[in-house]
Amino acid sequence: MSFFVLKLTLSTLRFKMRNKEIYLDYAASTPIGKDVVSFMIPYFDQSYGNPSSLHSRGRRSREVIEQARSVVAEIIGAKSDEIIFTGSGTEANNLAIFGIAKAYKNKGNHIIISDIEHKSTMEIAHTLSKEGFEVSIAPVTHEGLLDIEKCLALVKKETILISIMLVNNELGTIQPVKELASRLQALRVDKLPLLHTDACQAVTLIPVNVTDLGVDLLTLNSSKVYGPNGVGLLYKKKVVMLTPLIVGGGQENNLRAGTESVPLIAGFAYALQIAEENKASEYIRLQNLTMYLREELQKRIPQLLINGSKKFLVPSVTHITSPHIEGESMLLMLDHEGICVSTGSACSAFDLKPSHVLSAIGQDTDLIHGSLRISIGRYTTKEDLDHFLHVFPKIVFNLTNMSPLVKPITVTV
Amino acid sequence: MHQPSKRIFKIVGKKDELANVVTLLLAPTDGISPVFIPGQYINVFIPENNTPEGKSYSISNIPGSDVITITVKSIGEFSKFLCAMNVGDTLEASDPYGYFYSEQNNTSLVFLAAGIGITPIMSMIKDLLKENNTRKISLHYSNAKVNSILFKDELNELEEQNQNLKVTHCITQEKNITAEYKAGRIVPEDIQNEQNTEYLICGSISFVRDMWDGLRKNGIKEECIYTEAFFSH
Amino acid sequence: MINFFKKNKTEENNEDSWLYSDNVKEHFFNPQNCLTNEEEYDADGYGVVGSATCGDMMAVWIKVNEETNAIYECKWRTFGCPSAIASTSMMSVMVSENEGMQLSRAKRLTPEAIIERLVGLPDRKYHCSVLGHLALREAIKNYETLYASAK
Repeated sequence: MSFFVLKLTLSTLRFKMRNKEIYLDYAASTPIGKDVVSFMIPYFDQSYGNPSSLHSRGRRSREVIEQARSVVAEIIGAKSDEIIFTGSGTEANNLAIFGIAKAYKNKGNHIIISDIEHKSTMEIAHTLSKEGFEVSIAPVTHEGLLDIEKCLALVKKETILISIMLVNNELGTIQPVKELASRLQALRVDKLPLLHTDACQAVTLIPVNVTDLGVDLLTLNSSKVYGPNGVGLLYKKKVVMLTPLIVGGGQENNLRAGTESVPLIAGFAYALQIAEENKASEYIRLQNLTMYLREELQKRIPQLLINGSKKFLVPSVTHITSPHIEGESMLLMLDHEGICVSTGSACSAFDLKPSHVLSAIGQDTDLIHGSLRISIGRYTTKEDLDHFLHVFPKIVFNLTNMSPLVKPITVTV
Repeated sequence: MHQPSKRIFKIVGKKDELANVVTLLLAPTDGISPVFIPGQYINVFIPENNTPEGKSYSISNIPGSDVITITVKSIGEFSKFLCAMNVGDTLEASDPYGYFYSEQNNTSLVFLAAGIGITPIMSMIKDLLKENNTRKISLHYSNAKVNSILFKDELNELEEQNQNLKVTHCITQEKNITAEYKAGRIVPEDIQNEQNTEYLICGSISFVRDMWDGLRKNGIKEECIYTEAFFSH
Repeated sequence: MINFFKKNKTEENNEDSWLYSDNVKEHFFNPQNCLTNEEEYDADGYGVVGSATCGDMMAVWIKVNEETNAIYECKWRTFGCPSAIASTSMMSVMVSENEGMQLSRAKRLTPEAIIERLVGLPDRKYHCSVLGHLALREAIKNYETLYASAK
């Protein structure tokens, strides 16, 4: 079965959402493209050979994976042998940071991350800090943008890795990774420190080219590109050493053992190809929708705060804070109306801690629990946003009316 | 209005109770002696820990001295940090607060505790016995193993010196134990519904829930039960 | 055909029960006794706990029948998650239903009792019911202090 990439227009990809559900949580997970599912099916039941097997069935599976590899490599400007398929974006981050830490520990033990990285990166850094590594946190501005000067000021001879995500998943802010890479050149000694970027939220929206960005490692996740969940990838520049986390049968050039999932990898590559081909037109479409959403929100709910940079922003994310009311309550009321969004309130998190991103940008602790993230995508229509805009102000009104933080009531006791 | 007002306390003493349990003696730095009712707790704040609301710790000593003691089990990040603090360090904490104490003075008292849940109960028992109180007090104290019993020696001593105190230790995870300990969990259904008796339960959320359910099944009225559940820190 | 996802009877009716029981949802979407749209309320006792920084805040107002020493009305306003709102709503129903709850019993309205009526809260939401209990205690304390000083 040959790997077949069709040029598809966006209109044939769009399909109606079930019933009245309006999905505005694309940053959490993108729905799988309809054609991606049908594309993957034969790889489940017809091409089931283990890609490491030497017989013809195995070799056919191997061929599919290698074709998928070269497709994704081309999209991000890498060489095929610089792509390592993993089980998720989180796994790719683990492989990048733990893998570099172990491989270069004789050269240094200092790692720098920003204070708004993805939870996986924060946890990895925290774990390393308990294992004899020194971790420095590069601060961001109140708009959620990396302060490059402060980041570079942290670099020392023991620094082996800097990890800065390309687009922040909560705020949608675009980090100056390219500028950081170019400034870093002057400080590098023996090619260290290396630069890793988590580009999971970026790749469907802005150009992601490893050479252009100047990074040594890059993470992607299929569940953010309208591909199947359960597969991700790490780009690693050829000369960079990496100690694998998962060892066994030597797959992925001895960097990530485990029988590769042919349908997942094929589906990932196919989805990425489709997203890449539609990136430019989709960017404009989403930008118009988001501008409309923001203008209307500000008009209908004047007390609403819109967080994050207004300039360096992907057009899919709108992160808001509603004073005096709590995020999970807003979320459940929206859910009741068939609308899916995310919140960063403490009560909604499993560890009962508020969003570290909001803390990092210096959001007032009184406001930190009243946040909501609305993220749009391929299947979002203006009608969806109109329904949200119709429903949301009423929810804000109802919850505000229940809040002890507003409208002090005269009490005679 | 209950708003935790913060005061600075200095650690003036530190005692290792068990392998991962530490008692910290805290003296206020503003010269105002701490006032509390046995059974109450303080909220401790560690700014570096990204928990602006703080964490609650029951007071384990009795009123009358210049210090407050808290007995902390090292479970999560916050408590680990606390246990690693040293004499001379300072920390922020609220005034004592809470309603976990008997409001009567002549009832018999039945305390049910598990693990670190003994802390507020210890304060209450010591305070009651200090006045040579003749109130009947029984404590059912559950722990995994004999050597994880917190304040074991102190409880033994109190029981020897006070006829009105009876302590039953329930050991849940050790098999070969001596006759002075009872094997297995506390069975709340075995605790009798007696006249003029109040019941105070302290431990993890699931322990408190199980004990409360059991006591209620035994017909014990809600107004006779006080609860204090510890969330893991 | 095998039903891969075997559910017992209660699970079938309560798919969200791991987070929101039916009672929690009911009290969240149809909160009882919330003090809204009123500029003045003549209460006998008032208490407030928590803060916006903590993520939960509850204000509770009670009216007490002096003769029977029972709470006959309980109003509230809450900032917090659905479990917090449902806990305060349920608490207010429990203290004011029937002829109202005796103060001595209302003081013992434990978080466990509130959770039992809500038919369960996940352990990580336990603190929501604790706040409900404390807010009520503060209101009662306020009433008793004022009542004692008035005598």
